[in-house]
Amino acid sequence: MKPSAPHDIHLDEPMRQALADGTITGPARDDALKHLAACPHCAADVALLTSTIARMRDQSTISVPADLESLWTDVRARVESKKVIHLAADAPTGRRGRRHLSTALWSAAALVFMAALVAGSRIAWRHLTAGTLAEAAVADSLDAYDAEARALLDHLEVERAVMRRETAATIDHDLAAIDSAIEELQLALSKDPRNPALRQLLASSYRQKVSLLRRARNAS
Amino acid sequence: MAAEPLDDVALARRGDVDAFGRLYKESAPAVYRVCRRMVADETQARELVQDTFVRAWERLTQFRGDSAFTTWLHRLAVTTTLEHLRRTRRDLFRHVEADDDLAVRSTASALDARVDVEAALDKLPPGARTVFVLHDIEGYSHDEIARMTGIAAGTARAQLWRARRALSKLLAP
Repeated sequence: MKPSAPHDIHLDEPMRQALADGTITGPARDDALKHLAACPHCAADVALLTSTIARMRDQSTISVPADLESLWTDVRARVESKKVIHLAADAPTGRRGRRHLSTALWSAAALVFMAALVAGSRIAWRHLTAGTLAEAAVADSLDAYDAEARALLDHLEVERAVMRRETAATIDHDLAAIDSAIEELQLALSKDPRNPALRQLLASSYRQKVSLLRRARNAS
Repeated sequence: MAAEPLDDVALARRGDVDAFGRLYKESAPAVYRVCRRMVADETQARELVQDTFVRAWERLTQFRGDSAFTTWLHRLAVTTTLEHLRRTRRDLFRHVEADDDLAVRSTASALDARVDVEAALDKLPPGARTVFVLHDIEGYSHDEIARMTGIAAGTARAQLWRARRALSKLLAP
């Protein structure tokens, strides 16, 4: 194809498409534009393609259902069933020292979490022989976590005086989020006390609370 | 899309479902438009909106703020919809080299001057529709589309051109 040829020879399809979506540049584009200026057939075709693309890109051309917001109820139900507390995922890490501290905290948290899993599995192992006793094991675990959390909270209160305000605020925020989840789960369990998924979620939330408090203790 | 609701993103990452609900309210229409452009069925589009937000919740910790939250969510909607298309239509790009499928669909029903964009898109075969939406609306390159869909870049290009031609005919007054 010779774009600058007389207009009885037209631009080929790739050239027209490239002109329409603007992906052709440089001398090739200049030649093609010269051809368009002299060839009404190609000019009309490129204009048609261009307007089609523009029209399809117009966001307002897709109507949004009026009841889209009502879908949130279903989304929320699905989200709640997968609820996981993300601990201080975006805590400030501007200073080098804080970055090191953060790395150390996460490493410590990973170790503590593994230890908790091992401890938890030991507790659970003793009760695996009978299905009904499994619930008791979970309850024991929860009691143990709760007791440790209270002790760690006491320690946190002592350390708070020398803690950076920013760090304390982050810890408080995360604790509030976890406590809120624990409250919701306890409420749900009171209505459905034999639901194993709820018990697991509650145990997981407690583990995260203890983990957070241990990290706070190690950092102080 | 509206201004970036940074605070709600941070709160949602920490498990605040109410904050995530505000993000839903803010972003659901845009997510719906992405999904609806890629699938012909409105009910499917609504389900994909839900799937996108549930997936967003699950992956919030992966969002590091390198791009705008809305951009991240947008891409998630595209990926979710593509996976749905692959899952439900194994022949999505099978006839990509053949012109007849597109030709039949674009001429089988003569749309009158009132035809709108939504109806025109619905007339495209799924493969052509997907490539057109990804390239001309979402701004992905042919190479990116090739990676996302598993077809060759040249095939994607040919599919795009055919889709544009069909849409031009359908939208012509």
